[in-house]
Amino acid sequence: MLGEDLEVRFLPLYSPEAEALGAELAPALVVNRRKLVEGVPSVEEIKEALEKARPIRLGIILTKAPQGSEDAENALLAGLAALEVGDEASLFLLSDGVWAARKEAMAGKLPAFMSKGGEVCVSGEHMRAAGLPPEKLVEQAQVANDAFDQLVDLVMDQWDRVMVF
Amino acid sequence: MDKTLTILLNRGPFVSEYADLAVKMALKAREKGHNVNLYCYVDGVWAPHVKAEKPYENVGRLLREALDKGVNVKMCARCADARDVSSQDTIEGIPQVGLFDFIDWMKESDKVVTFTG
Repeated sequence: MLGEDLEVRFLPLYSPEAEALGAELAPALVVNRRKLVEGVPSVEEIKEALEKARPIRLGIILTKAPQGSEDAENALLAGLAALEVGDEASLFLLSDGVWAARKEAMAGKLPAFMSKGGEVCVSGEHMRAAGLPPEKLVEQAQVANDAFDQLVDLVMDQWDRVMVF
Repeated sequence: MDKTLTILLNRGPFVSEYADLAVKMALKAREKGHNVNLYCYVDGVWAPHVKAEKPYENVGRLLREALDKGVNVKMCARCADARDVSSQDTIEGIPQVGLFDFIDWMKESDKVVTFTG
């Protein structure tokens, strides 16, 4: 029943990991480093918790430049938080969001996101509108030449959840 | 493909790009065979207000194209009333409805994308 990508553990009370997750009752059911149930769970609780813990593919659309608001930072933090608990995360840079992919932008946080498994896709249409050539982008960022075509496929068929910043 | 996408537009067409993004995404999703709903909420009701033909690119032209291709477009009646946007002032085929219509669209959609700024 369990997917191979789920790491299910019962942490004993007072173990360092249980303490790190703030579990105060034993045993704590933990899936992919996400605390689900404290104390002794029922079978129904375990099944429900496992369903909730199934890794998802999170899509984040960023439409704003890193300067002027916190949205670019928050979009990236949401992506990092998803990766941290074992989910997949993709960042799609649309409109002024393309500025976040500049090498100098965001103090190298985008390469850090990608090194943890995050994907970054940049709208080619908006890069051209902004006069931002591909060589100015962080390495490994993918350019979506037909941005809306690729975005629709990601939203409808690839991503489980979509957030827009 | 038989999936449904609902797009919420909360912004007017002139200060930001959101109206264009919302309608372009709706058009592309429709071209790809999805059922597409677009709900104009709050300042989003200014998009259907761009009614007359103009000799330059504008969101009204995109909206008419979307309607022609079968995108369902509705706008919030209360938001329109608050801005004195009457049905005669807006593109034909975009009814003024209550917010429950948006909730129904969300419930029957596979995905919901919000352009709220």
